[in-house]
Amino acid sequence: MIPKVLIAASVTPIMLSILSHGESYGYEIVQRIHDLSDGKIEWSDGTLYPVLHRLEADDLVTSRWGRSEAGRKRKYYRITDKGLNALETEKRNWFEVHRILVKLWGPEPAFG
Amino acid sequence: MGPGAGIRVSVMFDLDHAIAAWRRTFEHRRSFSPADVDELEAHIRDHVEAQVEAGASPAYAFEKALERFGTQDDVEAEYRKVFWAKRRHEGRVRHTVFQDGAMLKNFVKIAFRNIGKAKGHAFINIFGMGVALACCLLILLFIHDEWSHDRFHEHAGRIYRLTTAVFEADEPPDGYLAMSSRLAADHLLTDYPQVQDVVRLQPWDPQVVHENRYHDQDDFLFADTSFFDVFTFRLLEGDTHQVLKEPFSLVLTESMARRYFSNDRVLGRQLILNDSLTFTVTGVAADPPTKSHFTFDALASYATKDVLSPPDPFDWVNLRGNYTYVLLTEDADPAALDAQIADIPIEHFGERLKQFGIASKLALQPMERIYLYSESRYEIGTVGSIATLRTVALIGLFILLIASINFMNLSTARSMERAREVGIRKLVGSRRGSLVAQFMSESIVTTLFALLLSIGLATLALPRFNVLAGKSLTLGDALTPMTVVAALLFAVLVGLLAGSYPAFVLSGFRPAVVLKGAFKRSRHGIRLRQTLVVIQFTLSIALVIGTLVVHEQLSFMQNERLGFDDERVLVLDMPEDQLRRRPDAIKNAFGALSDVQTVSFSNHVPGGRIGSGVVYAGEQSTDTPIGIEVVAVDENFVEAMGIEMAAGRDFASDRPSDVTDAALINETAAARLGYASPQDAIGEVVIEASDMHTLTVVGVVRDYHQVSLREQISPMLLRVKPIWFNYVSLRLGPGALTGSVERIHETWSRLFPGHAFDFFFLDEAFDRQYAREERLMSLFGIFAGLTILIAALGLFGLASTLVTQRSKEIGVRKVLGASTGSIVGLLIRGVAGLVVLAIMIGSPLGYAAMDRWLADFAYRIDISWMTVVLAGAVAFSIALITVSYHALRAAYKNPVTALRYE
Repeated sequence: MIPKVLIAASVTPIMLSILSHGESYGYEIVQRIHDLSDGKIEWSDGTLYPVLHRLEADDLVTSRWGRSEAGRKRKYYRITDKGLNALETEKRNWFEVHRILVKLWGPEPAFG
Repeated sequence: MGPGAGIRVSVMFDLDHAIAAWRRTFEHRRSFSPADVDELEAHIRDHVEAQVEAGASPAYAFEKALERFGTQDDVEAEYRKVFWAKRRHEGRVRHTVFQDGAMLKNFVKIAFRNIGKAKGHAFINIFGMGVALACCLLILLFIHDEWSHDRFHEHAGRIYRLTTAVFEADEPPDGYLAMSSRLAADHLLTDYPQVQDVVRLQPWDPQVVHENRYHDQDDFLFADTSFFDVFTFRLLEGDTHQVLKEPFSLVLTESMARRYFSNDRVLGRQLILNDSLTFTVTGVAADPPTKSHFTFDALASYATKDVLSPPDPFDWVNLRGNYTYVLLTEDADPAALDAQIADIPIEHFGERLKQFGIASKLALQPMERIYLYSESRYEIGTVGSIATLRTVALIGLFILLIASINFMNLSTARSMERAREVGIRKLVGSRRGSLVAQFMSESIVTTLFALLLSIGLATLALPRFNVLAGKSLTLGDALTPMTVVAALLFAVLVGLLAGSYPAFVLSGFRPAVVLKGAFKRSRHGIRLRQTLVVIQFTLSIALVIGTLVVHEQLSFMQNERLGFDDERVLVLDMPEDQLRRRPDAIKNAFGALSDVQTVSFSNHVPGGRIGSGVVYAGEQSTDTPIGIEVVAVDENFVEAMGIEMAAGRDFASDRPSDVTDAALINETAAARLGYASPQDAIGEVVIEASDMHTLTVVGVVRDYHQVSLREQISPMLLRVKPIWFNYVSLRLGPGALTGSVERIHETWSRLFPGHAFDFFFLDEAFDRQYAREERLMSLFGIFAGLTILIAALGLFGLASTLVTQRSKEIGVRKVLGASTGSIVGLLIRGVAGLVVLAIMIGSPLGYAAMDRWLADFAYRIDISWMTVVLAGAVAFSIALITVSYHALRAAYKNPVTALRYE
């Protein structure tokens, strides 16, 4: 099990990245995260939403209420410029860490 | 089936039901806002939908979605972590929203939406306020019109009228007459430098002969040459200094000129007045404004009067309808001048005055104060009354007060119901400022709607109001930029005030307190609203008492014994001089009709003011004189009028000396002249000042009311002086009146070809004196009705709240078996105390106010306790009906519904 701390740290860049591809809504984002992790990481849907809200509180994303095709209320999220900048920073940070680790461990081996 | 995750999956799975149940577990947790829960619900639905599309059953999909969602506690933990960050964020957003001018539109939009959501309350508010504002609008128009009388004259501030007091020599003056001697004018102009100009006016009522027809309806005014210098009336044709210079000159108003000469030129044309007087038209004036205390259709030069009846020293006491106005210089001191001119009559006629034992003084009266404030007798025209104006203004203020109270009351009620909403909004970060703004804007929007409605209502009501007020007001009068701005400001102000209570008080409370419903039950809120309702009902009761009392007094005056028989007496207004020329022909012609029982001639009939004269008792003219009203009558008058004798005899046709030497006086005159009983006056001698003739009292008549019962009966003297006769009174026998009138008309046409048939019925004419009181009664009635309406509306709102508040209690009682009656009784008892308090305060208030009003009447009713009780009963029943509506509704509602939603 990947420790919570690690998961928690990664949610932000993951979400920002997903939103950098375009406006999306809660379920879609959450589902995308599940798809990306291939079942390797088990996210609680309910705990992902607060992350979106925190991103919004920090002005990295904005939200609006809209309607689905079926007519149901739906909250859409969109990344802001500030969010894009933050994403760049995150990328730089993660790649920096990755570079150090690659230097120590070499490229990713196949795990048994 | 999938792993049980704590949800029991039954065969009949209802997704919506399940989701609703799942929702409820979040709704009471502090960390989740309603929006958050919506978002989560949307997520679950999306997830379920996706799985169902892939082939899963709804039940299974739901279970899976819930599983992946996470445990309640975990999720809540995460939400709790970001709670304050979110709140701060929202606060920042709202702050910018508030400051952004464009977002003000948002408030208004939300205001409209909120108002729409509570249509019932909004309607009551707007309607109540609209009605009140409409009333105020009409009242303002009325007051403005009354107040601006006589102000159109350029020199209005410097124009004063001369008033005269005639009184016993060693007594103080007892009231001033609006008239003054025609002889004073010259002295004023020459001897007093502070007097810049003087003008005399005397009303005249001649018959115009034109194209072989007689016209009787025009109001003439004798006027000096200085007329157009002192007053500001527009002269359309002619020179202002020439038009009234020569005797027998006439200035016509535009309307009159058009009536007689259509659109032809009129200058230089002639009009014949009273059969023998030829006048030349020298000018045309614009129709005088209605806002003037005197009016005219034509002006005749005063010089004419000097020719027709030359001045005589006795004119110092025989004022005979002359009115003198002075224009003071700019630096004049009115008070000083007033003192200086006071003794002018004594200076010029003092010797004779002393002989008669009377004195006469003059005083100045500012013209601008005549219309509203004058208490002089024998006014030149109809006057208004400052007392009426004050009353009307007060009523307007009352109504506005009540409506505003209502408005605040209902707004507060609405806010209390929205307390929950307020609590939640505060919870999720609404700043106090924006809440206040929200309530204020709703309030102001409502008031503005009410203003709009009021203009519409006022326009609709204006025609009837004009009839009531005897005016022709238009809304355009009020439509100056200033008043429009004032009205808008006023609406905003009321809106602000009304919105302030809910806005500030509610938004100041801690959310938890408000949510738990504690505020609704707070003593603070309830006490205030109860006080307001009591005030409203107190005012209503006072007004109802007012209406009832005015009505009673009016009935009393109209039905009270007048001392003469006013029924079935038809009075003919004779063409000038006809009575003088052929009295016998007239008497015989009308007397011959079977419909006519008695024919009588006189110069006055009951129902109108008589000019006052002076009479002395005893042979010596140095004996104490009294003011007296003199009526010239024939020997049939007393009989025709049904006047009773108290002592002595009536005039008799077979006593020729009655014509020259006899007089009848009334009981009041006998008492004033010092006779212990009417009988003692018989055979005594009096001197009547109009011609200083000695008369013997042959009879004393019982007092009868010459004018309305407002006035004390004055001393009266009746004498036979045919030269003064004006009216022919016909007492009609039994039989259809229309037939009689027709036959009389025929006789008239035979006697006076070309003259319009001018008649009236004595009882109608007499009642017309009460026009003012009738109007007052209508006014009172309407305002009382409106006040009650508005008070009832207020009570309606309060009752609604009270019932909602206690709905749980009612529900419980019903479940425990309480009857409908007992529940209704319970609710009514809650309100009864308020109404009783209002009755206890309002009744003495109304009583005291009406007692003062009645004090102005010489003959008045006593306010009976029945009236007061009736007013209280009316208020109580209305309160009962208002509350019952809500009470019954609550009593019939399913108690379970009341108990379910806490």
